[in-house]
Amino acid sequence: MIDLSTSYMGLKLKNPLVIGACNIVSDLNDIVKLEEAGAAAVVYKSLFEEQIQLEAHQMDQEMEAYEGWDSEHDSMFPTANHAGPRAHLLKLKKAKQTLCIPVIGSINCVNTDKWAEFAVAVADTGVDALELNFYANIIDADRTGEDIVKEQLDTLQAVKEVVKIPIAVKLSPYYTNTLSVVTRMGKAGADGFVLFNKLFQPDIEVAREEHHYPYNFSNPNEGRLALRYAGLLYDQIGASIISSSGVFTGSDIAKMTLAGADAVQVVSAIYKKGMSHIEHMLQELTSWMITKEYQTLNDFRGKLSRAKMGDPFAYKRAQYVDILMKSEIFMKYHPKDGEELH
Amino acid sequence: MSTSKKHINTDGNTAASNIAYAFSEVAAIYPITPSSDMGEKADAWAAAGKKNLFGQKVDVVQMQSEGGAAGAIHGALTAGAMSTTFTASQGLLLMLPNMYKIAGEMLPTVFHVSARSLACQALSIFGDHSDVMSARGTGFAELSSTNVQEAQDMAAIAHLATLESRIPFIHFFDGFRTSHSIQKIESISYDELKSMLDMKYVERFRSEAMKPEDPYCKVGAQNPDVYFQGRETVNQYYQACPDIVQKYMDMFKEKTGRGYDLFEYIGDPEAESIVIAMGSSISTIKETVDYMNRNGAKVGAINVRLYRPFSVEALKEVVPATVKRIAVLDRTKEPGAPGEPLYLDVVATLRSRPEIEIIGGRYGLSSKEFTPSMIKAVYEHLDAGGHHDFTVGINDDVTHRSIEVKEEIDSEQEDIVRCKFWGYGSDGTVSANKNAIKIIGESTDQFVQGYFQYDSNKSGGYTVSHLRFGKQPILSEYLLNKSDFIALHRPQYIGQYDILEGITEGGTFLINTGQKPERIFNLFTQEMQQTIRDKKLKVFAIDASKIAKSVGLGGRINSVMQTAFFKLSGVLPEKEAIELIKKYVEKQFLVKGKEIVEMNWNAIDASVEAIIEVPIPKANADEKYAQITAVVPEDAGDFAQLVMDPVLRLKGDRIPVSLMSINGTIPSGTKKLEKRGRPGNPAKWVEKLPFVEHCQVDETYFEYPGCCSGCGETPYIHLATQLYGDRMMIANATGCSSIYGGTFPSTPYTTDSKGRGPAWANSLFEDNAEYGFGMRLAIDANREQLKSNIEAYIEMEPKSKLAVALKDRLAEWKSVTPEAKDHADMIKELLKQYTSKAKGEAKPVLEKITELEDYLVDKSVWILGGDGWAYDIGFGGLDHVMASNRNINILVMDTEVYSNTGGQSSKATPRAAVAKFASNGKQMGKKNLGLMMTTYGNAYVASVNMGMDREQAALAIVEAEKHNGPSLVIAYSPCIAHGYSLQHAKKQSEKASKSGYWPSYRYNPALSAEGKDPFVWESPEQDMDFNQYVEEEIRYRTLMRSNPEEADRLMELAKEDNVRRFNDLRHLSSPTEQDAPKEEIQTKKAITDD
Repeated sequence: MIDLSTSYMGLKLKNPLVIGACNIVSDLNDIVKLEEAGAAAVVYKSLFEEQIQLEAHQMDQEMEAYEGWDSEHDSMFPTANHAGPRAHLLKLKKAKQTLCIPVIGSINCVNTDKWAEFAVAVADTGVDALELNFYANIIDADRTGEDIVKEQLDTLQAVKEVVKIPIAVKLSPYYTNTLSVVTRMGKAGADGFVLFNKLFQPDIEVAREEHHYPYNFSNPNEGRLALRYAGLLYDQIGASIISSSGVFTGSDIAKMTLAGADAVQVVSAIYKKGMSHIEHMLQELTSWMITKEYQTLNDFRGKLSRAKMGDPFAYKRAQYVDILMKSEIFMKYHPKDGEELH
Repeated sequence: MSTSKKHINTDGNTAASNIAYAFSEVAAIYPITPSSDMGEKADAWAAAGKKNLFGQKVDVVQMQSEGGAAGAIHGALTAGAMSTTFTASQGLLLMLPNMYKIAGEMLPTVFHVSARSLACQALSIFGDHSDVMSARGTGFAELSSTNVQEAQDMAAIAHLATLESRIPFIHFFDGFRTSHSIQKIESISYDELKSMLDMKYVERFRSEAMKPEDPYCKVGAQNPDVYFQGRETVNQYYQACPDIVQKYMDMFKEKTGRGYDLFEYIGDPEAESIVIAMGSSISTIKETVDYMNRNGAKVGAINVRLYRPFSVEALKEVVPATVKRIAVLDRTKEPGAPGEPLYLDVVATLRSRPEIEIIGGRYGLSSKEFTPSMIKAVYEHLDAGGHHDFTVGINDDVTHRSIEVKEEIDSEQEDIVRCKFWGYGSDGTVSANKNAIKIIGESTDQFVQGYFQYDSNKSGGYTVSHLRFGKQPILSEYLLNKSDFIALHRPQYIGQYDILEGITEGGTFLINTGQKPERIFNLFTQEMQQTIRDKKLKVFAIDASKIAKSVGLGGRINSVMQTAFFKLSGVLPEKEAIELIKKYVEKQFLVKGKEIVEMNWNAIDASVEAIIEVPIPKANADEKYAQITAVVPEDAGDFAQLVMDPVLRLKGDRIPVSLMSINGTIPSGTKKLEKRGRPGNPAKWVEKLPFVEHCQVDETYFEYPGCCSGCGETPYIHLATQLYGDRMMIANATGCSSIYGGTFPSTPYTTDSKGRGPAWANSLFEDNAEYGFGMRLAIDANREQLKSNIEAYIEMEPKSKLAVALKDRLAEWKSVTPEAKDHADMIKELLKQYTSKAKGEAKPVLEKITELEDYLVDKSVWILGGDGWAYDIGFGGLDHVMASNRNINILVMDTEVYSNTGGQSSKATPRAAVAKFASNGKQMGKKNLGLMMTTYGNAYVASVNMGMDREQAALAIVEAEKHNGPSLVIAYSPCIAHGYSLQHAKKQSEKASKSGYWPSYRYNPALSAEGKDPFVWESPEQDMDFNQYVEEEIRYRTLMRSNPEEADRLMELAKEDNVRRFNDLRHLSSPTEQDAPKEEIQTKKAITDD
């Protein structure tokens, strides 16, 4: 009997497939279907402070649009103030109360002093863990990388001080030294790391010469960065690792686990192939494990991590490609012409 | 006395309501313009948990009518809760029966009234004292406020005095002029109010409450032996009341520094000529008296604050010994009286001063302007020994009672900056100006005043904002007749309105236009160009639409124009003004994010940058200019030229009495002359429907209504008039449909080429079903009389051609076909011949038939109104006429709120929707009016949704009309109060049905008679979630955003409401359904057998 169970930040998961934060994970009916489809946990759609602000602004504008029409229509609606994150929290609470699988909250704030407040509010809904979605589009050239890291560390510490549930950090892939940041965050109390966040990347439509905003789906190759860092971090930190990029198949889960991830987050695959794909992925993983005669994930977790591998080149800098091209070891891992990388 | 004074910007309604809230435990409310805001504020405060003086949230309850509100107040007072209400106009009149009872039982309360005209020849939502004067016999004290500051202060004095005196109070202030004017006032805290309240009077009130622990009986009836004595028991309390009021006025001065008197003398202490008045006119009178005395006159005036109980002694005390002449000004009219009420009171008071000549006059009815020039004219009239019973402010060229205003004066205080803005409804101009007042009033030491004028059309009409700024409290309670700054937000008004009227020498004119600078001057009329040159105006322009779009503000130009005003108006130095507005924007939007702040800052910077000064070219003979726009066609006749034209140019004040009809009637077909709105295109599809025997497709009976764009009511009116317009009588309840249906000077109801069309009238809000029912009675009576005279004539001259035709008519007496109408026309022709030649006994009979000839074909009586009328205030009447056997047709255009008064909740409002008076979402489900009316068995009832199924709607209207008895059609009517763009009304209407919200059905008793199932269920199968319907509408979304937990709870209940409503209705359908319980079948059969 194959056992797919795993543990993520101390949460017992029946399998390693967690649905990452996205719009699907906001409608209760859909979330229930995800659970029924076999998801081991869900990360509820992020609570974006900015979205709350914009919603409040939009609400004011909508109301204002009905003011000053005529003598008797000085206004058309009673005065009302936006309730902030309460609508989100209410839905999140319902999701937690409805589901049997773990529910993880997620927050993203634009004001540094809001993180702790939002974290407490989310934790109060009863969720099992919280993800800090450190998503920021930095456009200020005067802020240094260290300023940003320091601010994130302060935020993490502030949240840890007020919240008891496990805290994961959803990381940007663009730190100068991701391992250093992870280590410092681990020391600051992070219970898990999500590898990685996808950043806002609008495209430009040349015909109309304007920005457009396509769905920012992962593609299968994007998993390599997460794969690499899972391998580097395995057994090096106390926190859990969850890979969130480029996981489309059961093989991808196997890969991430071989590198050392405790679990994976899936989003794009569900958007593209539907909820039934969850079962398919888990079936693939199981089949592969049967083929390989693994009984549990622990039988192969981290097998190809930096810590467990004797191979000194696997996790070295790819820029030395001209030297490595001649290496037999390199050739062992590089696909030959026409051969697909799986 | 309090040392620190806190200033706030507020309007009269808010100021009074805040005080009412402080002193009350219960508020029973009902919407009526212009007092609705007071109830809305109280409801919103209660929803937000605001506490009164006793640390309690006020229980604010909406009633079904003002009568209901007064009844609830009476009960609440009797059972020991300090209670209040807010009303105006006919609303106060509906309270009168209870007011006599409340006063008769010595129950302390304050009714806050934003005084408004009464509906006589027509309703008017604007201000005068007709309503409060109609209540002067009730036994309520009446305390008047002259401005917003006093609306707060007198409200407090009234609440304090009622508790001690035991006499209930009306506290009133002028509708719109005070209720809606925004002014900077000194606020009063609840702690200060508490310090003036003697709790022993509260305890006394409570101890006298009705309770079984200490029972007593409030007798129901007294007989001739004691009733009279009983009435006289109260005298001592009325005698004591003025002193109690003065005591609190004095206490108020001690606590706040603001002193008041029962009667307050203004002006020269040795004046020989004075006027006496009350209300907002007093401020303007003071301004004029100051001006006149500065210019050598010796005049004075008396402000009446406590009108009832009328203190003879207090008035005598303030009339200077030097006074020889008094003009008493009443803001009301009592036709046939020897003088208006205040005049008569003054005459009675000053019997001991026979040397004083006292005359009375009327002014300011329906917020008619009352300006310093008019006031000066009153003094001149008085000094010249002018006649009593005069009017001022109009031209009475019939009975010549009006006095002439010979000279225009500018008496305004020094250093006042006066700014006028021309905008259009929903462009944000009014909101922006309110914002500007707020910014300047709250951030500087300037006093402010803002008053807003609107078109009667529901959308897209003009707005004119009148703003004053100054270093001292502003006295001028009249529209700007001089302006230092004028902004034109909508250049299309050039040529229609007198844009630059009253602009001062060297003043500033700002226009919103995208035109090139060198061409802008040519956009103006010749008169404007002349004014600009003669008065050396500075002219600026800005392309607000372009900037608004470029900075992400969409089509709303308000922020851009507001910035331009700050830069150019001279209210503040330019740099300071721009800094101020930016700081305010930051304060306002920071909570919504830095980006929103920056977006608005960018808009401000871009606006400042984009303002250009318009070059004024030297005058030349070839100069281009805009023509005066024709607002009505030149050949449209006298009414259009002499009445409509000036009204449409905002010069209606000049229309003399002789041009007004004596009974409020206007010609049909006049709205089209205004050339705006949507034409009435008769729908061709109606003609093709198998059940439609005849309909008009070539001509229209309803066109260009001044409703909101996309209004969901008017399609039903189009349809009904298309089917029955040439023989239709319409009784229209007050509401949106009466405003766009019949606001002076035009009506969208029109006639066909034969001169026939709907005859339309509006009585009141509460009585419309009865009003229409009365029309039916008249038609029936007249037809009956006609019939008996026809029968008599046939007996006299049975072989005449006319008698033969009349016999045929009698044989088809109920026929209303085109052939029947042609036949009737033929008879009318014959009648002319026969009547002119008739002799003997046939002559009077034929004359009677001729008199009644228009009843040869029956008329179609339609009773139209909204849900506020049908479900609430008019329900008793609607229920009664639905229980009758008369042939009437009721069309309820159900917008699910009181749309006309600004979106207050009705019993048609669905659960979970936010509306005014239901800030936290409607708590109870929508009333199932249709189901209730089916219980009569003989009434036709249908529920329709035109956006979902127009044929079903048409079928219901046709069946309703055919039904020889009462009919009710409840029509789903999308409204701006639902909060979505009505461009999508059809789609949203479909969702209303497909989500299981709106039921479509017909209950036709005629089918029972044929042995068929009378109930025909026509709702589509539910194929979408209710959420998909509600999430499109602001009325639901607001609660989801502002109180999501409550929204969640109410939404679940709302879904249950839908299921229950459907089930309740479907139980009416055929008993052959297998799952229907046996006993239900029997019960239903019993009903249908009836």
